[in-house]
Amino acid sequence: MIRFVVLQNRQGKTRLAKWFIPDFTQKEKQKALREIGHMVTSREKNKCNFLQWREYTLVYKRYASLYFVMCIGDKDNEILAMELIHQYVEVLDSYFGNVCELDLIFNFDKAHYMLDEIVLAGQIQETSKREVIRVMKQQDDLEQKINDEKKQSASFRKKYINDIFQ
Amino acid sequence: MRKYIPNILSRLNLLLRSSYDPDHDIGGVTDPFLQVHLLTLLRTVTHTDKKMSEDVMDTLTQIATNTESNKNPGNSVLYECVRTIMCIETQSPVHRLAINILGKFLLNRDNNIRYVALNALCNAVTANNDAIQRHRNQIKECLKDADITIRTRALDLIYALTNEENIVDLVQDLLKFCDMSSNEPEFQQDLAAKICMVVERYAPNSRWHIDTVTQVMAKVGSLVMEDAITSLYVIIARTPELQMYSTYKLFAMVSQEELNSDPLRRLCAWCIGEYGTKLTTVEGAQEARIDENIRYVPFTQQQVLDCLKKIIEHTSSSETTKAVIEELLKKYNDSVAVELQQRSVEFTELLQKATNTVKQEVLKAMPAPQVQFEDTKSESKEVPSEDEKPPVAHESDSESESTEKQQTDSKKISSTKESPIFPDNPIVQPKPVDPFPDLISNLNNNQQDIIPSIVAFNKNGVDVTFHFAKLGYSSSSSLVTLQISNQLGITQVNAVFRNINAFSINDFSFMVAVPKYMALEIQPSTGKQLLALGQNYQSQRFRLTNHFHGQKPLVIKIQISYTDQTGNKVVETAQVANFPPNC
Repeated sequence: MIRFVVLQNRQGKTRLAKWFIPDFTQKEKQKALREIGHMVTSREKNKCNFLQWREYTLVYKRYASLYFVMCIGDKDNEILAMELIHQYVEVLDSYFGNVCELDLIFNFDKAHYMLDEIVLAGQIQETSKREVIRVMKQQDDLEQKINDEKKQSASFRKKYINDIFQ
Repeated sequence: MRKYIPNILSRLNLLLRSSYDPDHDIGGVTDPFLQVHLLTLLRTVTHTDKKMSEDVMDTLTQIATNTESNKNPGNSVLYECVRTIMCIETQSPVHRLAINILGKFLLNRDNNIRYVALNALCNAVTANNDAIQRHRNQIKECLKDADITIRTRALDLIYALTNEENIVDLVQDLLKFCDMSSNEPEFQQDLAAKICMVVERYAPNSRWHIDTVTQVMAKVGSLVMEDAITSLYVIIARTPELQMYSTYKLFAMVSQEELNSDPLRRLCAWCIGEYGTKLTTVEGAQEARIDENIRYVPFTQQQVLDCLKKIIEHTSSSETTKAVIEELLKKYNDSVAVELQQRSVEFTELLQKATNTVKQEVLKAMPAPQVQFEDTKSESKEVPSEDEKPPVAHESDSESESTEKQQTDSKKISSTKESPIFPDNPIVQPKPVDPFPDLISNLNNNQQDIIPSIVAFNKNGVDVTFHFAKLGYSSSSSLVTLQISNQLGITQVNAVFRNINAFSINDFSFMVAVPKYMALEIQPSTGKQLLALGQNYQSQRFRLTNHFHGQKPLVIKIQISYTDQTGNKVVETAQVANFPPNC
């Protein structure tokens, strides 16, 4: 089971953190993030991507300036976790089109939605990239539609009020 | 649960045979996520079954043979498949297939793949030792890896693979790696400890044992574990036919090479002191060179011992060497180091004042210690500390009053500093098999002071052993503690914890509760982690004061708690009442 997913940049700044276990208080989370940041960013490139952290295993992978860290249990398949990270990155990439750190900063909600599509309660729930993208697009369309309707109704109301006063 | 097995298998087969599916295909493998989870499920479902149907085996074999292994997704499926096979009790061909897959993983250039392979092999090593032996060379290659996590795992594996047949080869290689890893003291220390442990367990003969451990000592210097050194002392002391050999060898090592190895020097000094008389052939030259040796040895403790041995050798040496020795001893008469000064003064006095009979008794060769090899770890450490010091105290009785005065001086100094019952720093502590005190203790028949250890707790592979020390006889300052020792009802206990399970345990804690008529002083533990297979041990000291000594028995309750491999917290309590009568 995946315990949490963390995205940090090279300076150790957290860009996204999603917790699937309730074991940590807010303070502990901060502490854990700091620890992980130190451990992951200080590792050399030629070392393996698995780390023992407390009773868990950390699987991390670096994409450009971002470290994707996934915390799994010691009975879980580490290579599969790596693959899942890659899957997530590919989804991000095809959604944003050449994803970069800024995309994740300004559209953190989308990044969260995508992760929610792939992982549910610490378990993988969707393994098809295309499906994730489809759902995201659907969601965006819905959002767009609601926004349009809001705009429309606003302009309609304006017009209506104007009509009354005239 | 069994009824789900066919369903799982058919789904796995479907995934295996399905044609290209662009939605779920990753690196040529159809939905590795699903495959891995199905395999995990299969493992969980079949876990309790001892016998496995043909179908399951067939499917697993197919997955193992048909999955591509040049990309990550394929590897993840293979890895999961191997783990499933390992969990199922089955005939060995499939297991061998699994081990071979892991062997292939070891050849992979990707660090991550090697990491998981080593991990899996570590878990499987007890059940499949023979099959894994064939991949020994690949595992050895992993010891050269740049990544320390891989190296430590490979080392663990090699440690588990070592047996009587391959020890000579393996240790030779390990020694080579020892040289290579000189820029990483931590790993080197681990390596040295492992070498010493396998040597202790499987050494084909004592000579080889001595050779190997001294080599390790020469390579890593003071990083060698005290245990290994202690057992080496024991071995040398117990095999008379090797004493001369080892003395020569050690002497050659120390005098020829520019060594930075403190333990080796100490060992050498001890050997020369103990068995120097056996080197009758070139006695004069030999001793001259020893004198030379002593000068460039910069370690204080070393010199103390050196001096000590010199005296012993002295019984058979000529007048000139005697003079040299006395001069050397005098040099330290006003040393700042109390320990050093005390010894030097004591020995000078001994040489000058004591009668010949006393001298001869005192300087006689010590008897070989009666330590069991299996228990060298715990016992050899304890036994010496119990009967270490009394002799020096008694010595003053048998000697003239001027010595006593000297000693009271040193006592004053040493009593100002804390005098722990079990000296914390092994360097300050005189060598456990120190011949000098032992001999005098023989004179005074102090043997009954050795208190047997007891096993206070042993359950689920975790054991707690209590070692006892008489208060008066173990501190580094001699006279002070002798007085305290008359107080009855005080028991000093060193509890040693060990874990012989196949997994390490964390957060180990040990607690003691005593009845109202007793008082307890407990010191912090040396650590919270106990490695698997008894690879390390932690200890904790405490002192029990029985206010009703002789009227009420010594009884305590202990509680240990730890976290096991699955993260569960285990708490165990036990009552300990079987304290030895003389503790």
